Amino acid sequence: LQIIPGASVLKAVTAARGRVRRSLSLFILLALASAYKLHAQADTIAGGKTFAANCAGCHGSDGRGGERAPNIATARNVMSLTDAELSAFIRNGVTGAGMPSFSFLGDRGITDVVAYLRVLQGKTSEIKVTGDDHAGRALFFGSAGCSRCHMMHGEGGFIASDLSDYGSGIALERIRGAIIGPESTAPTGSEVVEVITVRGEQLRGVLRSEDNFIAVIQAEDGSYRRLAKAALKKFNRTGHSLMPAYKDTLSAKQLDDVIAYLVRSADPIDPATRRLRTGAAQ
Amino acid sequence: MMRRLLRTTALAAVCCAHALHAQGADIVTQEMLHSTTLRNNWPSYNGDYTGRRFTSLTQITPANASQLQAQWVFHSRNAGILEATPLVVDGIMYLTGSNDAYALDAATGRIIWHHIRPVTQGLIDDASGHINRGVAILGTRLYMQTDNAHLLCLDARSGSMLWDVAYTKDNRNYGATGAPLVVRGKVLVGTSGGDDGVRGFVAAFDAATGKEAWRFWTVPTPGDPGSETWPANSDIYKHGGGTTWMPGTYDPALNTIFWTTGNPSPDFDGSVREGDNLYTNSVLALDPDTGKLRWHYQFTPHDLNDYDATETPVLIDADFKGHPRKLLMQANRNGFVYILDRTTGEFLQATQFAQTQNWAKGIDSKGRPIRTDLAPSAEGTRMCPSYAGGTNWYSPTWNERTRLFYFLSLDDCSVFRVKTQDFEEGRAFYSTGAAHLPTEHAHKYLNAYNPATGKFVWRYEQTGDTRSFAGAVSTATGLVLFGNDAQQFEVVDGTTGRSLWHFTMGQTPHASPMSYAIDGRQYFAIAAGSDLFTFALPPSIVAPRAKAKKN
Repeated sequence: LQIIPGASVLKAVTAARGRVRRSLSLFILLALASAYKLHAQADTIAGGKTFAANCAGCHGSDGRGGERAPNIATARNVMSLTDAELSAFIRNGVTGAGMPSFSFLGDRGITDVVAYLRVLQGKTSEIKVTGDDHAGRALFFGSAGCSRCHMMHGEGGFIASDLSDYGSGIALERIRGAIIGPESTAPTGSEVVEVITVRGEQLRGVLRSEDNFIAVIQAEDGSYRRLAKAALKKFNRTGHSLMPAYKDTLSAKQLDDVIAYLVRSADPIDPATRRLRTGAAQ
Repeated sequence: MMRRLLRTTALAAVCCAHALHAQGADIVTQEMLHSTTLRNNWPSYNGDYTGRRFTSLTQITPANASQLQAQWVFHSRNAGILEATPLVVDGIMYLTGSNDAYALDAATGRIIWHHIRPVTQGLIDDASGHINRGVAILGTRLYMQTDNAHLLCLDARSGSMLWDVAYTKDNRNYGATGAPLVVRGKVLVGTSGGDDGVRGFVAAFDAATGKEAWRFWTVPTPGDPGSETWPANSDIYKHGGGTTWMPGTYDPALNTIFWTTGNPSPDFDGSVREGDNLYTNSVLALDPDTGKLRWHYQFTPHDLNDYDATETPVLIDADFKGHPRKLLMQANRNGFVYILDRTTGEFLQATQFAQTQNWAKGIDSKGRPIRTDLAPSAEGTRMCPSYAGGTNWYSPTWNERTRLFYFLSLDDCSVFRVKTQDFEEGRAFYSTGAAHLPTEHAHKYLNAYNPATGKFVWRYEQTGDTRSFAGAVSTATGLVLFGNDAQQFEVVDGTTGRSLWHFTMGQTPHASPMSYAIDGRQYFAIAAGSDLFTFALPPSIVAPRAKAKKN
């Protein structure tokens, strides 16, 4: 069953203080919404049949895209569209992209197929992104300086993680927390270490690989240094990455804009890749 | 290597906010690619543009090779078979698995970054094995092909993707398994799918932008030169094969790329493709800037036995019949080792290396095979070499010191059957098949060929199940190192063929070895199964004096 609470749900959630209260209120609201949807108009079974007959040929029976049409099931930019926006795409088609108009399905048919698409998307809530993603992009590559370290869709730096798909499958509040910082722990492979060698050479870089004997650090110019740990005068783990805390650097609006950019332009994550990233496959 | 880098860069010391914008030094420069002296670094698939897989490192010798030891093992996270030759630059190793890429600490095998891309579903034949033979690097950018024939450009410092170009269309039987080749600011790629009715090509992309610069179709469009070697008024050319699944070699002085092509398609049914079927089973001499064909030589016209000519075309400067010449040498899947003049494409010499060979009576003075009357048939015809070839893509090596050409070969025969079929997307296009008879006594050999005399100096018969697909590398101390047919990495004296050392890897190798050095210590690396193994002398043997010399 799909559940589509309105934007008010998210606002209410955001306003809630404290983790326990937040999850509790989310639970209650979702439960309410769920009960409500049981009596709602949309018929996902009918929508599924319509999808199979009209959409699956190009978008694939699971909606994850095919030779002729993109992924509309797990692509964040599609998931984040409202029901009204999705309906408009279906009703009017997408000029120039090969997507024809499906207005012949009628309002009822379109409502059903959107409902079914939400099932394919596995969504339990509509993602309400309030920021301006164009402004966010300008900040990312401009004054916020994100792109000096981070890459987004092939543009940007290399010393920090590629954020092209970061906005997929992550709660907005987690993105917000990661940006305003400070971080609680540096993710593996991103911790800054400070080193003094026996010869008195001082080095600082990102710890990319380590065992009991050897540490490999990468400097911000990209070069690597392999160090025998036993031969170091000092090996200081700073506990943090190069990521600065943006708490006082970005306004609330700017933060929303950057988040909107990260989410709206995020690449979909393949479920298998997600497992690999979290190490669950090991 | 690392130490040198350190001196020239400011990894060091103070790093602060403004340093975040620092532009790193190039990892692989065009100059490094042009060098034919390979020591610490192995910056391209074959090491250098000549394709000879010859390392100038001298630490490991016939006298001390018996003291080699395994150093570390890397296990790939997705359990596909590794067919890649790793690249090593400044102590960092770059390797591909199945659609993914790794940067490893080449001294420990530990992962520095891992670029993950799921394998593609719905592929057929070779592409469905998701194998990949490695990367190319230029500047700070790393290039690789994917199983579904995309060219990826990654930032070699982080593994993050810069761009992704899908370079085939109109036929979903295309795939890719090779390593790209970087020449003069362009990245060159090919495809697999030659057994599946695709039309082969070599394509060049701007290394910075990924924009296509040129594309050379290995099966000509009707009306173009070479199209007269295909049936007129037929669209078989669209499915004619001639794929380009191994990286080429390059002669900077001639500014010419030598790219080899695979079998015509359908493999075993010649009736639907009467004629020589240019430019299948050929070596193409191409202008890297324009993709214009300078010359071609076809090893097996109108092939009926899947004798791809994709074996490495090795570029050698040597005396031939008393005159110094720029040569191209190739041990071909059809059972002959060839020498061509690489300036003109003139055929100079072919020597049979397959012990059992029955498809040709010989090669005539123009370089054209004189066929026997054997051909695949409905009831099956026993022909040799087998469909796996007298040799295959696993690397040969030319040794500058011994002046011998070493390559692995397979002595085997298959029963070839033919049945005319229609091309269909999603299905292989062999037009029936080749079978191995249990009565065949197949054997692999390591061969040492002297091009000056046209004779084999020695042949080393291998014991094993003939399932290995491992290549060879050779050293300035005259060693030849290869994966043998019993799941072992083995070292022989290149002059005599005498075995000096071996190590059991416990998995069948399907890859070609290479050599590199870190901090004055020489290593060998080879993939077997889903793991990569490295070997070196123990530190106690590596004399401090040698260490100083290395740098």
